Amino acid sequence: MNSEQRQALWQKIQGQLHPSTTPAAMPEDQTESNLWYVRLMLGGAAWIAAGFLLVFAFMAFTFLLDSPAGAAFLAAVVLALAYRLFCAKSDFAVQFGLALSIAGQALMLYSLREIHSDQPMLAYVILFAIELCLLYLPNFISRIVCTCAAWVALGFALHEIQLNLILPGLTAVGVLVWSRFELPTIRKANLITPIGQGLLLVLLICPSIPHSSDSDWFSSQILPKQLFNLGLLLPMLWLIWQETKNQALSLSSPAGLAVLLASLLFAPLAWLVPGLSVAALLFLLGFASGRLSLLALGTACFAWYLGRFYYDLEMTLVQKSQLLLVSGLLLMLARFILQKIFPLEQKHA
Amino acid sequence: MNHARNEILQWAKQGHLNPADLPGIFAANGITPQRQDWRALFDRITLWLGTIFLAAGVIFFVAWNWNDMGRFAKFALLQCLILVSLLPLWRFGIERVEAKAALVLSSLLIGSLFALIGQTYQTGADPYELFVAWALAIFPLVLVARFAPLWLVWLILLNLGLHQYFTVFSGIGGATYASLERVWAMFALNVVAWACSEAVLHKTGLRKTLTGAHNCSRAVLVYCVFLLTVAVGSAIFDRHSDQQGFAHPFAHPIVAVFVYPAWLGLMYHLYRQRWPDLLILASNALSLIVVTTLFLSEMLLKNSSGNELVYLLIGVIVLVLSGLAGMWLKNLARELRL
Repeated sequence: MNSEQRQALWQKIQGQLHPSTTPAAMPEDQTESNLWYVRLMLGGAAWIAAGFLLVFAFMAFTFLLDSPAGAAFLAAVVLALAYRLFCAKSDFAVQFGLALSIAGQALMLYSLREIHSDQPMLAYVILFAIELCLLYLPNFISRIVCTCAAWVALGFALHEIQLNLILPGLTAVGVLVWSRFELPTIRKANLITPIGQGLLLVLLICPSIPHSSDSDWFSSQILPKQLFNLGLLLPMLWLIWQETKNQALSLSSPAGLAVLLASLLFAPLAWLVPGLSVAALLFLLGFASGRLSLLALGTACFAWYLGRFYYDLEMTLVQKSQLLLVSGLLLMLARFILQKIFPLEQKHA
Repeated sequence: MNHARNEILQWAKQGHLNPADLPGIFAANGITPQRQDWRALFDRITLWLGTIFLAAGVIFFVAWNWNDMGRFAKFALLQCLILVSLLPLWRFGIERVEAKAALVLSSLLIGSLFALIGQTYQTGADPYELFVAWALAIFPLVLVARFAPLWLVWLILLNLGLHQYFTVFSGIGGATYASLERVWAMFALNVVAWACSEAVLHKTGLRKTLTGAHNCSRAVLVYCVFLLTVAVGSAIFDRHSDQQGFAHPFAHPIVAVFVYPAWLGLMYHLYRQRWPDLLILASNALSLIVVTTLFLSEMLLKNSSGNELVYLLIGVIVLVLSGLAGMWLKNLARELRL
């Protein structure tokens, strides 16, 4: 937006909020760049640098890394240095701090695995707790990495006690909680937003967790396998219900009944096609909050998991074919009926 | 709408707006959707999901290769489906979204028809012939549709065909250089596609707004950057002559020395000076960082891989480059008010 557009938007908002008073002066432009592709470029470069720094650390500090306690000490020093660099605010220092933060977390993981090699569950729980503490590091990308690492550690810890099937549901609930409280906590956006985005990244890969009955991850579970799909499906249905409430739609009204019917028709499909719930959740969340990046992510997620469905071993090809054909026809029929009952306004057609 | 949303959130973060007012502000300024917006979304979802599911269902059915159904029955079924899928064109006219969905469906079904031919007659054709024939067959539909995502599908088919071609034929360099030639060939194909799309965008004026067509063009360009990075990286590491002493032109570092800087210069001129676009500049910046890292690794680690300071030096150089790139992009974003 250029300055004229910003000015017009500010005045419009002031007119909406305080129609009878003189609008307040527009704030100075302190726009920080929060473009995702700039962050992606910086994050990618930091990962590359962290790799080289780790190799340097392993070669130069062999005497320390020979003992797990030494490795933990080195990790703590590196992370403390990262914190110091983040506080410096210079772009170079921040980028160096980010690379050190990633390298320090890798060293910490290495030391924990060495210290608790006979108790992996303890190592993962400690790693989870430490990653939560590292959210204190004041850097957006570092907080995303910490969130992802914490959640993956949680997943491995749950796997040790045969409960990892609840992880996808937990992650989806986490994403919904973030989206629900993002606006009220906007003044703490530097902390809350990267946590939400980290959970989103983990949610993207959740349907890829092996859940076929042949895999070790799955067959040893003490919970029913349906929990995997249910964990992803229920948050999506909750989001639909929540948005219905936001639009003041009564479920007994024709429009409300249409939404209910659509959800009931979609639910079995999402149950049978792993990943469809995640794609739908991202897409609907993106549309509801006006976030184009989530819309694009949901679309890409859908394409990926539909392609992966071809190789899924839980159903035969003919069963998948029948499911998709019937779903396609029902969707077309639903569209036709809706156009008769609730025609679109011209500008939306 | 994304820019307005980000701007409002910035004001709220800085304390100029009350967070409790944000839902109302978003609703009043069209950032969050209203009932008719949801209705329109539902209309689009049912149409496009239905189209994709129908096409996927038919493709899965063909892949299943049902022996109880005769081959002529299968061909008749598929050909009838293709004809039926084109009915919306006659019913609604080419400009309507239903017609575009119909053309996407029939394009996908034509692919499954070629797959059925290969499956039934076992002609011994190479996989690349399927994708190339498919792309040629649907070209008239793609031209008629004037629909950017369908152009993207068509380009993907050409890329797949080219990829499969080099799996079978090794080109002039033999098997040693097949992968390198493949990358350069795909880079050339996608650069031509990008250039054509830019020419069309420029002529039609679609560049002025971020439409789907513009985003498709950007996606192709980012893929070109990826391919060039792989090609230059391979030129840095591959030996430029094989054991028989054959010196492949594409593997010679001199190609990277001329092509890569020329490409970066072109990207700077177009997307910094003429049509500023941070996404393209960020992807080229990341490409430069990766290529520099590979170059330094090859030069410095070849003779001193046991020296730990070399790794520290490369890591610091990567950080300096990325810091510079980040500063430049952030200043540019401020200048462009993004």
